Amino acid sequence: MRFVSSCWKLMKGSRALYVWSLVVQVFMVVSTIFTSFLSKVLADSLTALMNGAPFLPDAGLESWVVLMLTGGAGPDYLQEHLYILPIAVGVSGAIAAGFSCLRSLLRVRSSVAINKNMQMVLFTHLDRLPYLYFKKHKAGDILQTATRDLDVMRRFLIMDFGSINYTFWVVLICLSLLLSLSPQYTLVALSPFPFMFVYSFFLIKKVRRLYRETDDSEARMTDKISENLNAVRIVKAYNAETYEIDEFEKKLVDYRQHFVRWRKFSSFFFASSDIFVFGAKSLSIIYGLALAIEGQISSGTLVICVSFVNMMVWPLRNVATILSNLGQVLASHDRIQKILAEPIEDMESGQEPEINGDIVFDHVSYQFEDGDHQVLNDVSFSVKPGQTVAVMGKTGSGKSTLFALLMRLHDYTDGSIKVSGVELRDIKRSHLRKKIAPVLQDPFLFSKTIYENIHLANKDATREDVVRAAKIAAVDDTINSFQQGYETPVGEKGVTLSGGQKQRVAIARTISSNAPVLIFDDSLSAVDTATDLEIRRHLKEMGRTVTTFIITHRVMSAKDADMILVLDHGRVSEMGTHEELIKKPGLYKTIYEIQSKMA
Amino acid sequence: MAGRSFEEEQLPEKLNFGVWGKIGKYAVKRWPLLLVLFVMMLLTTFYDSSFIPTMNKASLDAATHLQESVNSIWELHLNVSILGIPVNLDYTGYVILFSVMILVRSLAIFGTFFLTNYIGMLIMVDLRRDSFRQIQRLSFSYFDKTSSGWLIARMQNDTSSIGDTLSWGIIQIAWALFDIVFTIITMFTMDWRLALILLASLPLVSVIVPLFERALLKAHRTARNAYSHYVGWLAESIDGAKTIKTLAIEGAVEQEAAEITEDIRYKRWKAGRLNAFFQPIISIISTAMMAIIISIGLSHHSSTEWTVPVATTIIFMGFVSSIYDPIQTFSETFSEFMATQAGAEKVMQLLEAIPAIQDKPEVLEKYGDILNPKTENYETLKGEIVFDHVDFDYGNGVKVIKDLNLTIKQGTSLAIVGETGSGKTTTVNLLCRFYEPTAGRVLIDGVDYLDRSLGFLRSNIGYVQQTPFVFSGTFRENVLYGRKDASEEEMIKACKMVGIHDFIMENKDGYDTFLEDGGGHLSQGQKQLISYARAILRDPAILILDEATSSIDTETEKDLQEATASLLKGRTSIIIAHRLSTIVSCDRILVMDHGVIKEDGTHKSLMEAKGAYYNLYMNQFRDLSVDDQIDEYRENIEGKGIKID
Repeated sequence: MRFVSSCWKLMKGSRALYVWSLVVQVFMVVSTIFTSFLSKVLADSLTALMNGAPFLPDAGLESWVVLMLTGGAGPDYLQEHLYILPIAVGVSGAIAAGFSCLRSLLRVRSSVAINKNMQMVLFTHLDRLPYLYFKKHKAGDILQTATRDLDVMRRFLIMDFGSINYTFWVVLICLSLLLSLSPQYTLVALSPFPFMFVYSFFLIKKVRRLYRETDDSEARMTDKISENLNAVRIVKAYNAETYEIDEFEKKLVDYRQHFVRWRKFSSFFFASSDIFVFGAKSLSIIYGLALAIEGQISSGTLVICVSFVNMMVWPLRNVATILSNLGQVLASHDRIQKILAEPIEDMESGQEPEINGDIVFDHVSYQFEDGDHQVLNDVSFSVKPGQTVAVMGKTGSGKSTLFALLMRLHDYTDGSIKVSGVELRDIKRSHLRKKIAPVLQDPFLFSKTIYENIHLANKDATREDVVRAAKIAAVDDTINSFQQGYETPVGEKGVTLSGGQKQRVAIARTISSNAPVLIFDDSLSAVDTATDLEIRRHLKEMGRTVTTFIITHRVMSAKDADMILVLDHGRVSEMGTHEELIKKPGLYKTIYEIQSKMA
Repeated sequence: MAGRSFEEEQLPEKLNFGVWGKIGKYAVKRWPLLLVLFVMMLLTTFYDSSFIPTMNKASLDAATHLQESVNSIWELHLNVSILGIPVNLDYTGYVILFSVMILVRSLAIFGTFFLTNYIGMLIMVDLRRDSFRQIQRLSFSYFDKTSSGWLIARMQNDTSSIGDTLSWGIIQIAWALFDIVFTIITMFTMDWRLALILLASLPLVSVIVPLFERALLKAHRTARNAYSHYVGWLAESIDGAKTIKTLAIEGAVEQEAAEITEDIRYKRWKAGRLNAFFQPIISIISTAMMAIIISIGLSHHSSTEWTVPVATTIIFMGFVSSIYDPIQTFSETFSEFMATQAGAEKVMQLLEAIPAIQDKPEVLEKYGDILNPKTENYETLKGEIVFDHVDFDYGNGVKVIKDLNLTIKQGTSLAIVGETGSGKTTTVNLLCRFYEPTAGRVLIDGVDYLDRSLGFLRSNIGYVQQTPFVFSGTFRENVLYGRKDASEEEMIKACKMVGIHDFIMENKDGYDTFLEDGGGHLSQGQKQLISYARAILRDPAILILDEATSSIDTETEKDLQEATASLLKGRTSIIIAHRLSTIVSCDRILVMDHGVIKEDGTHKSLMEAKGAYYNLYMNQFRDLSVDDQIDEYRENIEGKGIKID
């Protein structure tokens, strides 16, 4: 039930189309069956004509059809005006084709819309999950669900459910007509089917298991290929070509064995379940002939019974396969629901104070949910608008966490942080992140042009703004040196930027956001000292009040800061200006002495 | 970086018979299986297109011409004409024939189905085996020009789609051919005039179907490209999720998602729309044909010179819908071949590539080739290396190495440092003979290395790569990769020397512990130690250490220091150095710049000279974290008594 309701939810916006496509499918089934029913009328009337007997249609549907075709005039009229029959076949066939066309259009229309809707529902949810979710989950797994599982669901909703609907109506109509013509005949002709269902149900599981094993074996083989290619230097340098060929041969042999086992069994399965299908078809002829000869059914009934049985066998067999596949669909559905059940981050509630760089940390502590280890411990400091704060510390001292807290990527566990006098927890996240912008340590650029990458942070930025930001980040010249300038695509299809270039584009991106508070998370260190200096000078000359945090390991970058914080194991171990800190022993003084000697 | 790109494939204009001819040989090689397969198919199509219609007609004939004399079914005689051969059956015979034929058909379909897949698999396996062997034979330059992603795509996707296309293509064509032949024969034996009328509609269908198929193929290709683009975009958005969050651009990204999914929706709709019209058009043509057949049947049901019995009319109505299937099959198969052609061309391109580096015939004569070495003729190597006026360019006229003269004494260690593009990696590539000098000679123990085989050279070189490579296999297999015939004791000794033995033994299965995913759970340092052990086991006279550019963490670096020392001991070693710790401890340091040696000396002398080495060293020094700067200073500046003022 949960499955149905969540499918219904995923179809939002296309439900009417979807239902219509199912309804039209019913019309199509009816008109197709009607067309082939006409061959019964044809056979009966012709048989009567040849045997010189009057045409006596069966009571029920056949009489109705004859009345309909002749406009109420009856079977005699039909026998005198036989040309009605080919016209009727042509018209009803055309109608069936029309319905089939309409149904396909509706089906495709709803299919593509549902697909889009599912993709959007899942993506907008993913997009709003908190930062931590992406730290905890593997990108590959998320991608798998967003693509393959979604596709399994789409296939089920559109194709499989369409087939089930089709089969249901075909069987319902054909079966009721057959039963009304000859119940005894129907039962005999269809007797192989229950067996086929049971048979399929059990065997297909084994087919699937063998398939999975084959698939795994193939995966091992392709792993070997990519391993060999990635290790090509090792293979060649170690002269291991023959060894690798032998190893690969083992994988080929293993795959071949699995493949043969799987295909033998699946071929056996298909061939043997064909026996039921052809059994039913043959039985319908053999037994029907006997009944016809004994005069229990008319020749038309024989014709129609044979064609109805034909119409039912393949869809039924198809449904047997679909049903045994349902487990996979449910598993995909569960994985999608699991993502959708993750709580999304509340981006929109809270206050929107004017953020200008007035920041106060008051006895702030933070520890990870599952860890007992304090990442930050009792940190206090305050910053005034327009100040530059440098943060130094050893690896793992909690420097980056400090800023994750400030941006509300995580929430602090103890103490209080006030921004413009407002408790940070009460500030709207989207507002905060527009105003406090970081350059991450490991910059990520999207496969777009350089211009688009910089523009990303502020969609109101003009071209001048983008170029200005690039100039501040000292990357404008580099960009202009590329053939396509700002329109140069980044990534596999475009230029490969060096680490420093990437970093500077990311800096430009952050600057173009116009945020009053900027955080450089070790990001100036990736550029050389001269550029580092240039960027910091540009920042000062920007002409607006910017509060800057710089995480760095260069004394030179920290020296001019209004305040330098030194962190050690999550605690503030030193705090003050350059002049103050070099007077007392500590990490800062040591590093200052080394760096000035080495300069 | 960003984005998993995808290849947008264009459709070819016409079939490339050259390529398909070569690929076709892989199928022709399996001719005995193909022969059996054809027989199986012959039986299946005979059953479907001839036997069943014939039997149906016989029973309908009997049911419509009610013979007064027949009172019971057992007295019935049926006249069946199978492929023009008249057979007279009573009811029992009729039932038996039916039952036997069901079994025959099931057997035939089993054979058809199994053999088709089996042949497809054999073709794929053959193609993969040949490609794999080819990859082992190709020279290193090939892999510099060709990304491993490209090669994986060829070997993984293209080979299997070629296998499928080829085997199913052959089967489909044969099937359609048999099918149409049987149907035509059966039709003609029943009523040649009706058969001719029915066949008259074939040209119309033969024009419409390929037109549709071509348009469908194009539209679906476009839709598929749009989807691949989406998958690439999605992967990037998930990889870049942290950036998206910190820039608070969720809204903009969703806007983009809406545009991209709309693009897929529209393109899929365009392709699906075509599909929706295709079948109904064929249905309408067959309905019209049916109406014609019925009209003729009705007007001739009892005329004298051309009688069309009821049964014939009814059975012909069935032929109408089945006669168009083979044409659709032909057309689909053709499209399949078109769709796979680009892949087939690329695979052939790989299979026909010629290795750039090959030994001279007289060398091959003496030492054998890579796949069949004559190790008994290998000499022992001491390890003195001389570069004698060596020039090199990658074929574009730009000299990467210019007149390099360098003698490396046996048993000494040499670090080469320099910026990207300075020629340090090329020097090592030349030494390993991944490439050959364009001028000058490389002498090893005084002999030009071109006068000995690749196999000989490489069996004397140990190579430890930038990023340590661990194969999916056991610890044992990974270490023994250095020397396959090493004994257990030798292996353990090598592992003890680099200090990984204890760690290996901590695992439940010791040396037989299986390392999934290329040792995913091992740390970078542990992987490096395994590759060290591998190199030690090989015990080469010459060792090349190609260090990673990306700095590894300090802990690991300290662990490796000792192991590196024991690895280098007593060998001629060349290190492309990035890590300060390894550079500093080498016997000799070369600074290269634009293909020439700029400085040559020891750490101390070069630091005090304050030249290029000093600058390189300082650049790295500044990028260390503050704690590492302190350590590094104490150890390698103060500790070595270097005076910088």
